[in-house]
Amino acid sequence: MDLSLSQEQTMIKNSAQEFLRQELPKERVDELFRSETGHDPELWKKMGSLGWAGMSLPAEYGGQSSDFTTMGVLFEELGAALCPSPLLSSVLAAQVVLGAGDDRQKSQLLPSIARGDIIAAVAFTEDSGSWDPDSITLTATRQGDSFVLNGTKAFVPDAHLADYLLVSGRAYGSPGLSVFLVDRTAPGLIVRPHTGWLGDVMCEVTLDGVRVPASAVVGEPGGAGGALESAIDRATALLCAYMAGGCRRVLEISIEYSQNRIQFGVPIGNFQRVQDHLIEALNSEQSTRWTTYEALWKLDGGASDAQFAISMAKAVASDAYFTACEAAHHVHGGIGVDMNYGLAYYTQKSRTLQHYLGDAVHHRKRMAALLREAA
Amino acid sequence: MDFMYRYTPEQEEFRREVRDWLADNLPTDINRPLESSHVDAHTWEQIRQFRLRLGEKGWLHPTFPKEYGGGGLSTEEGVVIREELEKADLPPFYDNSLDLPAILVWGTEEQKREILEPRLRGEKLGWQLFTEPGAGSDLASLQMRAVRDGDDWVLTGQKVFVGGDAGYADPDNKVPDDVQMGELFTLAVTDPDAPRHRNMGYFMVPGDTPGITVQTLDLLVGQGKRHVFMDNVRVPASRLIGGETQGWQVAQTTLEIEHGGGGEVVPRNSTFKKFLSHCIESGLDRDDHNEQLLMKAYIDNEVQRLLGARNHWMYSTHQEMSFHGSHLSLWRREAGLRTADVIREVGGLKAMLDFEDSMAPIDGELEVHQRASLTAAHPGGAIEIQKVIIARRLGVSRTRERAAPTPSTTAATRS
Repeated sequence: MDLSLSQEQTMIKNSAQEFLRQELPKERVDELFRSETGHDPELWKKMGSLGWAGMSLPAEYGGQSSDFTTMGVLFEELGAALCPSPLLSSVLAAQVVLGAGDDRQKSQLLPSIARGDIIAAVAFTEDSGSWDPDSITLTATRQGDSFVLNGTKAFVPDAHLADYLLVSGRAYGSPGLSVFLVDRTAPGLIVRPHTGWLGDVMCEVTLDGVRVPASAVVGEPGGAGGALESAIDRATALLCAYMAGGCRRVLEISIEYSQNRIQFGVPIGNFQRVQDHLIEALNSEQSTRWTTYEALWKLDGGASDAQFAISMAKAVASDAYFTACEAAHHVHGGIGVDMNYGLAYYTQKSRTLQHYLGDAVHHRKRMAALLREAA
Repeated sequence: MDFMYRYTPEQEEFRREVRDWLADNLPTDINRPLESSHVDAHTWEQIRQFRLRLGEKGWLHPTFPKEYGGGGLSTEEGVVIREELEKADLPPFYDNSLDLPAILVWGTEEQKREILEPRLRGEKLGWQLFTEPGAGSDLASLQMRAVRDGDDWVLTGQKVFVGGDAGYADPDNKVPDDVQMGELFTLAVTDPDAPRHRNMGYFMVPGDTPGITVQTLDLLVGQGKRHVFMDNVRVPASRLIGGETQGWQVAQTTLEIEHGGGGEVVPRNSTFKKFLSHCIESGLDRDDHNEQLLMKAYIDNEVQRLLGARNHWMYSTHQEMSFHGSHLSLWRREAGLRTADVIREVGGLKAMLDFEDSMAPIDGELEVHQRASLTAAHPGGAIEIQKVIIARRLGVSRTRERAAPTPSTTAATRS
């Protein structure tokens, strides 16, 4: 047993912290949250040049074959800094192509994704917002050498930035899920960013008779379900690390605030009711951290229960991140909802990521199903 | 990162040795009452004999130094022994050994030799006498007095909630109460005029010293707990651990370990896991609401396992802890209560049926769990006290404190 970071992981952690300190000051996070796209092309370019977009990919596609634990260390730092970027979408898309795509699709897409030159996003969820594959209703009808796609996707992060969308749907006659590679500028495809209090720019994607060639099917028609599931698992594990980073920073700023804020003549951290909230945030941070890193470790080791561990980590992270934020708001009082202070952006993020890639209810359900299978 | 214990071929060979030895030495036909304090005189004697054999082998406290009667083994070998013993599913046979780390850190060479050896060999049991009727959460307000008289200290006062799972009080008094055969570690005021925390000593009192009387408490679970009265109990000065007003400091080492500073690495046989299997077999889990509740409890238990592993890893690699010990303790207690609530909600009134009722699921174990989870919420510092300690360690409290020294961190200082 060794729960410490490797030398390489420590280096990644330190360089990510240094990079984010320089490139993403608090004011910049604030600007990006308020901007229409939520995206900083310059920042993304620099992240690409650091090789972060290709970390999960094999060397033959320009990647670094990093393990997921090492990527998790990076995502923890991104989450702590609240870094907005299409990095997770890129990893998810790349993993779908890597898992289901043919050689041509892989060599066409993966090297440019690895460099950060193109952005790809996965359009999975629909009106229900559910990550249950059974909820997918988008249809693909075969017409000669083409498929015609009809349906609406919802809550798709980064679709407004993407060059390509990987759209899940059902091809007529095949019960399983299919994935289609669709150019964002294809006729009949409309991307509309949702409006409201979301922590990421997420879009509604309407496909009204979008025609794609048969070569745009990633994997076999009806045969992409397994690859999708495994790609979503991998992205979920990294998302949990991002959320663990968010919990960590929220705990840190709450501790700091409670040490410095004087009321009744003493730092408010002296009050046990305030301490209770800090301990709630500590519970959230520690439970997310350790379930996440164990899941990443199981993923890297190819453990037979890696799926289960990932679902457990996300069930924990989904609840823990917003709980930590709420505890932090109790500690902070009025200043916590002053947008200049910054806490409320974590809260905003936590309530979106609570649902992204499956909420706690979804993942607990999946855990139970996996346990029954193993019983 | 690596969340698993890896064993070298030599350690796996050692595991085979442990298995072989256990096959020859484990008591056979042993009764396993649901409540550990319900062991009968015969079982108690079987357990005692086994503890002695294990102690003689050095495997009762395998990682303690050999020179004092421990096994002198590595952390990993200690884990191997614990894992193999856990499979045997014996009634509790470890005594309260929370004084041993304190003696290792604070004791003189002579004390280590005299006191540690019979304990590490299982010849004597340890009993913790800290809490008093008027000093529970506010332990430092304790009143037991120790008065110096020549080469001795004379102790007078009253302690409560003394005991552990391994204890046995024979209802028919056919065997002597085992408190009287043990080593009682206790705190007593040596200087009533000195300020709080600097007014007490840490004493090791042989249980058969004249002046000690014992009364059994009737608790919700765990009837092995006692009231202990001391009336002019005379102990030699060599039985004071640390300085005569250093007792609070010495006790912090005991409490650091008690609060979870050593971690947990071998999962206990868990009532919840058995209940979950019962639910899957009987179909109770095939309900959206129950399924969610069961998985919440499952996660609570898994997080506890991970926090235990975290602490064990930190302890075995000599890292200085801060909130970690009390954090594990807090989680264990709160998660235990939440788990009991889940079992009651999913299992209904059947969760309250004991082993005599034919309708009781998993042989009535749930009923004991219902009572035990509540009883487990307080010993060694209530939930609220663990929170106070965590806040101090996080650096937000009026009082700031660091973790007490343990054999792990003092060994690191030496090396």
